[in-house]
Amino acid sequence: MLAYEIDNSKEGIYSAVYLSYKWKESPDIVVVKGDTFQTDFSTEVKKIETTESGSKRVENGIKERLRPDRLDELDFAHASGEEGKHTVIFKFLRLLFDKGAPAADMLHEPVVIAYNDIIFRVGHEVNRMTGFLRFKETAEGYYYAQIKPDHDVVKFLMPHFTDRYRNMQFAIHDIRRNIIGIYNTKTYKVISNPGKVEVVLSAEETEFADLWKQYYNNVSIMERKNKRLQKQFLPVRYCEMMEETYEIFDSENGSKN
Amino acid sequence: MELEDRIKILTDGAKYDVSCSSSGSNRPNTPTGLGTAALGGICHSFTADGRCISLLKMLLSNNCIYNCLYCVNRREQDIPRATLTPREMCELTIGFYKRNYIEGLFLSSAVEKTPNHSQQMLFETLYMLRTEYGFNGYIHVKAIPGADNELIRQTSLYADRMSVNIEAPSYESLRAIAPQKTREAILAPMKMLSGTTGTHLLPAPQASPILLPDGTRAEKFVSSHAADFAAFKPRLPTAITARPVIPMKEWKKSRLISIPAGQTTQMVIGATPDHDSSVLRLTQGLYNIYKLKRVYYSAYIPVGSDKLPHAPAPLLRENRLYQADWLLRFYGFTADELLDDGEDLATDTDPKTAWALGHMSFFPIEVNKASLEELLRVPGIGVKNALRILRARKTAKLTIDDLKKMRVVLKRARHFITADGKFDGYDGDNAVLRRMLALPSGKDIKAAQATIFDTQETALSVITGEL
Repeated sequence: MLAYEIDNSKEGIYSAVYLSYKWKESPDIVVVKGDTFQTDFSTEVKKIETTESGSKRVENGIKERLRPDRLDELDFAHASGEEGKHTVIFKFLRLLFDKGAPAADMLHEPVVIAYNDIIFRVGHEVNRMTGFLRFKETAEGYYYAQIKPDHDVVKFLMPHFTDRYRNMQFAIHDIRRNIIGIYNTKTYKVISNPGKVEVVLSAEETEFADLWKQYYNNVSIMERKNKRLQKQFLPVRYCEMMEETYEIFDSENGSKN
Repeated sequence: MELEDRIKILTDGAKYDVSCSSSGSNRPNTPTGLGTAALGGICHSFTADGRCISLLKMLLSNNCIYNCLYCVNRREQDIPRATLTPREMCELTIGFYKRNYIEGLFLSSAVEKTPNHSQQMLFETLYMLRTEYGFNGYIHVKAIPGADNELIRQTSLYADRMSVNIEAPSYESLRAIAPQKTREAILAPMKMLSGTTGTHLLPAPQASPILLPDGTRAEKFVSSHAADFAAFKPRLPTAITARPVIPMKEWKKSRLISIPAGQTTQMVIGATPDHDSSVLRLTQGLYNIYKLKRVYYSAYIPVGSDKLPHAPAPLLRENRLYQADWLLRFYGFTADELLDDGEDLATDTDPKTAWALGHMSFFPIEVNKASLEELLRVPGIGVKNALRILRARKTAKLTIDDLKKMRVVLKRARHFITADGKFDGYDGDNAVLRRMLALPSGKDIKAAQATIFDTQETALSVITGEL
């Protein structure tokens, strides 16, 4: 079995694609330093050096073969938080270069299916986050939201929220990756590892949260209670960040807390 | 009464108006405004019964002079009554909106004092939200049956979607369950809204909100309903505080059409002896003639009236009607194809499968050659998968295995298709096939609880329209 070891970046994957063609070989998996993977006695691990020229050539080649909306999808794939994503993206790109533009439409090919799956999961989380994300008003007057997403989605959320809350200062904090997106009503920035973030809530904040909980508790039609259907749309892990459903999260994970 | 208690009462009273969608409008923000509307709508939470919460759905008042027998707020019901002022409703909406709890507002009201009075209150809330607070999120507002058409039209200019509930599938039923709501009072605004949807230029913010059709402004509004005239006084918006009103120029640029997300309606199912065939024919007419965006069905839940059934209508019946509704809107079916006069939809199987079983000469169709319309007739192939099949077959001849890999649900479809000439379905007696495809449990199908049998698939198809 042949494995490529890359550094954890877009350019790393592209360099791997470039070198796999240059060396006329096809690795079985593509991993990042620190990943654990199944090995057998014949496993060979090749370290891939990220080069600008190699990765640029691959990137241009991709742009020639994928339509603009599919290029956006590739950004989603790179933002995935799944461990196997490098292999999936790598194999899709190899198919793309082997078969050309039609590769993207080969919906019956396992390689394409796997690639579309990771894109779907990231895109799905972005959509859900636009709905599930909750802001809290701080004493200083800006609005602060904390999220724990599976994938690196803060950069995809900023355009939506800066448009919607054009005249409101806010921050979206991914506490899992320690990435924060901030908006000052003129421009926005996405910052990694911002250091300690201290937030003091405003006086009215708990009042609004309570009113919302009151609303939520009264809006269900109890004669039609269907926990399974609710769970299907609202996975338990998202319940943690929403005031009105926090109890669902707490009761499911109570023993762990 | 405390704000929290009033919210409880007014939310409770509004939840049987089942429309919850925030889709259909891509209203943009303005330079000094707050909010946008997302074209596909956004779900902010989910209720214990699995429905999406995207709007703040409330009544402005549940103090009703009407006595519709199916309604929890009817006059003779002994429940606590509450009201919110337009200002309070605005503050609540804006506070929730800024925290990303909601996409916007779904505002309804009981008929308090007179229809015009309630409609005026709805109007003032919308007017304040849009002009004083600069709110550009989604607003779905009701039209009160019996209110003046012009007042309803003025209200519609500030909303993304407007609806008036048709309540019953026939005039006789309407008379029986909602005696104060006349058919004219319901149809007149529907007809008017179907004509104005997407056409009007919004009026600029101005001192008196009541603009007459000839372009002049009125101090006193001459109502066509003489009885209402004495009680109805046009009112200026309540005193504006320190927040600036949106400048005229900005308002003129920002919005051009009225109710971009169109008109919808709702009818109660199971409170009257009407058959599904009447419901579907009326639904079809509303889509074709009045150009409604959506018709909603609300399964009747008993609220204590002696004159109506004591048992709730089965949820399954509501689900089957929604499935049929998707077939009318997206799959090219007509009401006649699905049901004959006086018939009800089958409960043991979905309407698409029921139709297919009754028209087996149409099948099997070859997935690599069939048109989109033909693919859409296959039970189990929804719109999404039909389009994916069309895309994938450009690159290769699809086999049954390929369809499986693409996650086309073959449980039903395999009996109605061939893939590259191969058939993998049951080739025998139709009745046996029907039993194979029916819901797992035959007992207690009329019972109300959805959890008795496995209807997760049905419940999902009702929301996604994939069947």
